[in-house]
Amino acid sequence: MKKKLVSFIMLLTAMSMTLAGCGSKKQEPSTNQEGQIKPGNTSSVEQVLRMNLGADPKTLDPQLNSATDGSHIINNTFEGLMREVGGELIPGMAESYEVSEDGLVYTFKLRDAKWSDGEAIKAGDFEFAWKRGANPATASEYIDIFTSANILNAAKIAKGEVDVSELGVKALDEKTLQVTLEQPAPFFLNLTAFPTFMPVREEVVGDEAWAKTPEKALSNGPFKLSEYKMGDKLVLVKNENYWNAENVKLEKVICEMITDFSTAHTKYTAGELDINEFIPVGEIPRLMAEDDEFYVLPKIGTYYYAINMNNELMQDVNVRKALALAIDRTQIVEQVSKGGQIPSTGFMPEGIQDAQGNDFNEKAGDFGMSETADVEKAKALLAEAGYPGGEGFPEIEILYNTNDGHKAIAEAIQEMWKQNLGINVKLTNQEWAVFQDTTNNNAFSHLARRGWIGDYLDPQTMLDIFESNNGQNIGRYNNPEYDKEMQLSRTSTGQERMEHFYKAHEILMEDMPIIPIYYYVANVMVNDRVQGWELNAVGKFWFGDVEIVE
Amino acid sequence: MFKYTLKRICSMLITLFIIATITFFLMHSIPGGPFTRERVLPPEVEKALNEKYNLNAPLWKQYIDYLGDVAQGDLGPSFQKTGVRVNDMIGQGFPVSAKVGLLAVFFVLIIGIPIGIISALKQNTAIDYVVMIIATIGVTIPSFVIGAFIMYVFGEKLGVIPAGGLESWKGYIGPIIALAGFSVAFVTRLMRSSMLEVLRQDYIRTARANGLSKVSVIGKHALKNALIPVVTYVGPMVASILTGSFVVEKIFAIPGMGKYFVESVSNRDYTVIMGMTLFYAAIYVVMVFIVDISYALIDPRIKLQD
Repeated sequence: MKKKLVSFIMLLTAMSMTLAGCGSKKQEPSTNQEGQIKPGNTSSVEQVLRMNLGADPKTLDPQLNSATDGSHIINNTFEGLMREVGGELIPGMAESYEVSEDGLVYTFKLRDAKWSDGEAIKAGDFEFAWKRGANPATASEYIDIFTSANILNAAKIAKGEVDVSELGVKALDEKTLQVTLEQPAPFFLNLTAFPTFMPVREEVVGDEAWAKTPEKALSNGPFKLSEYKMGDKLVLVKNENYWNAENVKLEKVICEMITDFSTAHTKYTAGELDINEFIPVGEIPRLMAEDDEFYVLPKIGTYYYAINMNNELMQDVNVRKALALAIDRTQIVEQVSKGGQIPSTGFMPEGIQDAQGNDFNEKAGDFGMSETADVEKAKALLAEAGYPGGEGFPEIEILYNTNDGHKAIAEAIQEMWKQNLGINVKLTNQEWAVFQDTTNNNAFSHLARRGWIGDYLDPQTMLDIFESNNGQNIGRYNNPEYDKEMQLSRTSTGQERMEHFYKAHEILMEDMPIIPIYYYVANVMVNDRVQGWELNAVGKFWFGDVEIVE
Repeated sequence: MFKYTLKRICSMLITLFIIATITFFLMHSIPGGPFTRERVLPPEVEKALNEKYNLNAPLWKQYIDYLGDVAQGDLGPSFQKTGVRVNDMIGQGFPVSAKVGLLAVFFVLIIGIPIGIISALKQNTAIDYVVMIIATIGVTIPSFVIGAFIMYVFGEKLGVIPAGGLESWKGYIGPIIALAGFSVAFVTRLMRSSMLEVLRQDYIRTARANGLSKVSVIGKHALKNALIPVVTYVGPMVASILTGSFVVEKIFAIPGMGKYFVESVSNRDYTVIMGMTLFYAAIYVVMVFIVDISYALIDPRIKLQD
């Protein structure tokens, strides 16, 4: 199962990298797989793309956004210094850049580009935007990304210890931007393509509603906002002032806000939508089997159970490992979640590479965890912990937020632990906000459902959440060895840095303070007449190369 | 009448004040707040957000501040939609919900009342039985089942109505049926039983004995009195239908305000919870007031007490 999926995903990734035709699932070369599209073929086709965005995004402001729906739009209306397309980092607003020998100072030369109102883009726009995002007063939910990027003083600014004017970013002149880092950060360049690092115009952001007000929503990407109807739809049109506008074929993107999965899917099948990610779970197995417009794409994220390390029973590593090994992950993804998810035998999802080009997930191995349950070993571990056959083992609790999908998985695991280990599990659900309150305050008893989606293609985005001082570490896992490896990764570069991540990941899996269940995937349906689309591994759509064909 | 109205307005305001107070403190007592996230916010950011939205003030202060703003007609900013005022959310959502809702109310009245009357006059005939069976089914099937069924059969399978949205007039068919279904059935039953009740009254017999025609007796004397229970029901029903339904608007992708009632609670958008509750409550008390006035118009025996 895994092999097949992996190769399929790799195939899809490879296809989307060619950026011409995203391949159909059946891989028949007949359906517009060839890279070139004959120009005469398409001139008559209306270049309008209709997609479903789901909910009305909270904001379309690059610095304030923290949601996927907002990112889909911002990634197309704005552009950072660099842009990530087809897994590759290409120059965006930056024409070129230089890195100092110690890897600490980046000097970007901006290209001659314009805002949607025709004004020239200045290095100062970037300086302003970055300082705006890094300033705690702005209350950006992604403020920590500046710290992750190792930008000089970002961490201290976020804590309120240093004034934001001390941030390591400076416009040397109108077209030159200098960024100073505290430590070399190999993925810093990737982050310059991240929404929080995209430029904004100082004169418009004063009005909080600016990003959803077409007259004020000045942007620098291939599209600009032309219409916004609260809770209904928003419309993007081609930005004629975009530096690469001549290569942008799409004239208009209509983003509907349909939250009901079956309504959205009905609209898609009726041909009223070209792209829809909101697909009823019950339909997915059938679509996966027979519809070549249905795609399963990789996503950097892991679905797992956090273990409360402050609970005495759970402090025994053998108990934690026994629980982890007694789960049949293949059964969960094939019979419960059914969306093409990948059983996880580690915490690092596929698609993140080390400095030598190895896939981290592959090289890290499976730590003796199999995709199906290893019942014998699990039983032995539980016996070693003093509970042979589950005897004397107290009832434990799985806490999850109220949702049919989470419930089904918890029930499957409850059954597996009962069958394989002879232990009793109580399932408790809480409403979303109550659940967050409970888990973030470490107030759950044994296990809590959790999911983590990475922000950028680097191991750090997945691993730093288990450092002892990290707010996302809801189980309060605390191993100085782990913290040390993570700290060392920050002061090293290249493969050496990666080795620290491998080591940290190994410690994590040895300690098993979490029970990984599966790696997320993205399910999306895209009409065959849409060519050149991309949904990247960190979950953002890119429409700059899209062309509608007949 | 003037004095009565004034008195009623005062009592409405007091009702709204009590509702606002209870909602405010209940809402703040549930765990989780507007900035509770799966991705835990850095403390400095949370502090900035709490400051911005006045959440770091003592609760009684927040309450007084909020009431002060409401008194000036300002329902405050949404905590979850950056830069959006609750007034705008209602201003954009309500007209959409109300448009669909008014049509639904119209159909409830023009279908429910006449059919109820006919059913009562033809009591224990085939027509009566058929009407009652349909009405009973209509009362028991919830709107989301009707909605999903219409969507599936007429939207997806037959393709005769659009799959959501109100762009064409056909888009209204599904939501109106789903919204009106229960009430049509309920009003029909109510009208029928109330009519039967009235027809048994002595004064009806007297009127008939005095030689008044059947049409005149039913149309002029019976109908008015029989309408009282229906009017009692229709008042609050209008309030609830006009402010939109979460389920129906979701199924038919209607950009109304129904969704905010549910969304705001699940994401703890305090000002939106308050705004929606107050707005709904205001329409409700006004409808009850209108119902009371219409009693006096319909039935001369009812006097509005000053």
